[in-house]
Amino acid sequence: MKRTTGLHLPKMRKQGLIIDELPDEVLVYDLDRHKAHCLNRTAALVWRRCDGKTSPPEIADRLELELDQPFNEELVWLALRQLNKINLLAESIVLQPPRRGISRRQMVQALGIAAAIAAPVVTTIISPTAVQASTCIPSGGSCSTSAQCCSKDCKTNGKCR
Amino acid sequence: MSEFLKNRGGELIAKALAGSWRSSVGPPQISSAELSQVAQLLIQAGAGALVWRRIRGSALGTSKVGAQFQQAYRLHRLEGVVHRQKIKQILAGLRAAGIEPVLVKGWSVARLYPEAGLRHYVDVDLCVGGNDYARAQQVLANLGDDGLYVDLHRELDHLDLKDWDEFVARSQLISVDGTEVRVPGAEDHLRILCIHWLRHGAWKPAGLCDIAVALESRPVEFDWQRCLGSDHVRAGWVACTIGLANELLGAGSADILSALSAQRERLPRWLVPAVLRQWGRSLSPNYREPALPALFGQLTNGKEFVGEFFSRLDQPVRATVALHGRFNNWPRWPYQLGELLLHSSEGPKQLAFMITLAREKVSSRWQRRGISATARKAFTSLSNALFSMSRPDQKAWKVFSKS
Repeated sequence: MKRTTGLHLPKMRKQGLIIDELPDEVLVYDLDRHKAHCLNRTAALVWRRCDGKTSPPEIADRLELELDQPFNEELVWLALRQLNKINLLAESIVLQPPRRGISRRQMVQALGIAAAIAAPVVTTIISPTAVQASTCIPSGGSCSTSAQCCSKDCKTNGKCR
Repeated sequence: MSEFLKNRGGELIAKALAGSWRSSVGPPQISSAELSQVAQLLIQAGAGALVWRRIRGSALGTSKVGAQFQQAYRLHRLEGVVHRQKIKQILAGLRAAGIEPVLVKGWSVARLYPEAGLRHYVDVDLCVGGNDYARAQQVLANLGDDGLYVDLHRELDHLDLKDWDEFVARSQLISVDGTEVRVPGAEDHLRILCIHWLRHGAWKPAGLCDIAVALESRPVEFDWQRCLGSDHVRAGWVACTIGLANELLGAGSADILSALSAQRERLPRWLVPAVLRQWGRSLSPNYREPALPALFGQLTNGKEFVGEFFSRLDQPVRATVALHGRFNNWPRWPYQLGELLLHSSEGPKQLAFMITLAREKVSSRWQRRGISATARKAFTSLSNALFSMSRPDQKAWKVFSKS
């Protein structure tokens, strides 16, 4: 079970994950929770540097050196908050609260402009799954015939009951 | 099903997938609205990633519908990584027991695509020698969940008629992340892919892309005679499937078609429309068990009911293959009727399913309307009796169906 540490030394989770690196993003499949996530380049850069020994300000400094571009510490925190939420950190960390009076979207926009680098974005992949040998479309999924639905009832609005 | 999909769905799917397996291919000549209409069908049929590959550099790639295909691609990428890991674990287990399996379909065809993640995986099809089959089953049982992932075949099972020893002798070893995997020879594999696709009613457009990629990546020394085999009917099926890949997806070239001209004068008139109809439905014809009970929900809509009923009978490709018929211009209804009779023993099972559904529906309706508990109980007893009579595992039915 994950434990919370009082230190701001984030550590990347390595167990129970399948990682696939694409040129612009990193795909992660959580074998424990059966969820797929997509990390954009910035989020992946931060995640890779979460070694449990480096603090967020240090991560920002290192990335600034590596990329030869300003890398705001806020970007690191923003990435960590998202990584923490989807359980991609080995230990939950005490996160710096987001700035008051500013929404996440506004912060992403502000940071993106200020840092000249894309703000970290972590998304969970949700897609209609391909029809498999033994599966059917769950309730609410799009259907054209009743046989496609697990409920065997494709409603007139094209959704499975 | 909407009229649009019924009439143009298959055609648009073919347009979206044409050439998608090639290393260099431009975006499809299809509008965003048209792509949206068939997006669900394409993704559900496992072809979403192939479409993404075609549209990712174009305006369609940044559209709302494009995002759906990108998600499908991402999922297929991850699926591919999981699939490769499973193959390695399963092979290690089997080899530790001294069993050398041959991997057919799945990864053995996915490796031919220009990049990972373009293909959807279901299970791992492994063929093992007849003498190893029982031991292989035991090994897979000991593997737990990973073992369930395997569709184990005793030699070539229903996949092919070729002699097993000859098939193994022509197989080849390919490396998957450092693990050697035995896959069929190119000729055997193309034939297996074609016949498997037809046997399942040609319903999956991604399956025809598999055939297209296998066709276009065949080695220089590819032996067409070996691929087509000695059975004239099956040779005709393979030749027609390659003709379909050419006609619908633009696969292959004129020299291939001329090489196959002896087996395939021209595609039968009914074949292309039948396949496009199937694609427009994206209804796997493999689920015969719930086929009739699923109609129950349409009973109140006469037109819909007839349409659904017809779509279940309209399986000319599958019926012809099931009855080892030739692909020619003769009518298909005798095959379809024959196939229906072939599966008539499944009737009671479907009837049992229908009774269960009816029982649930009527019970809940009566409950809502305040029908007395006694009446509901009587109905339940009656339907239970009907259900038990119609169950296919009843001894009497078994004797009857055997006779």
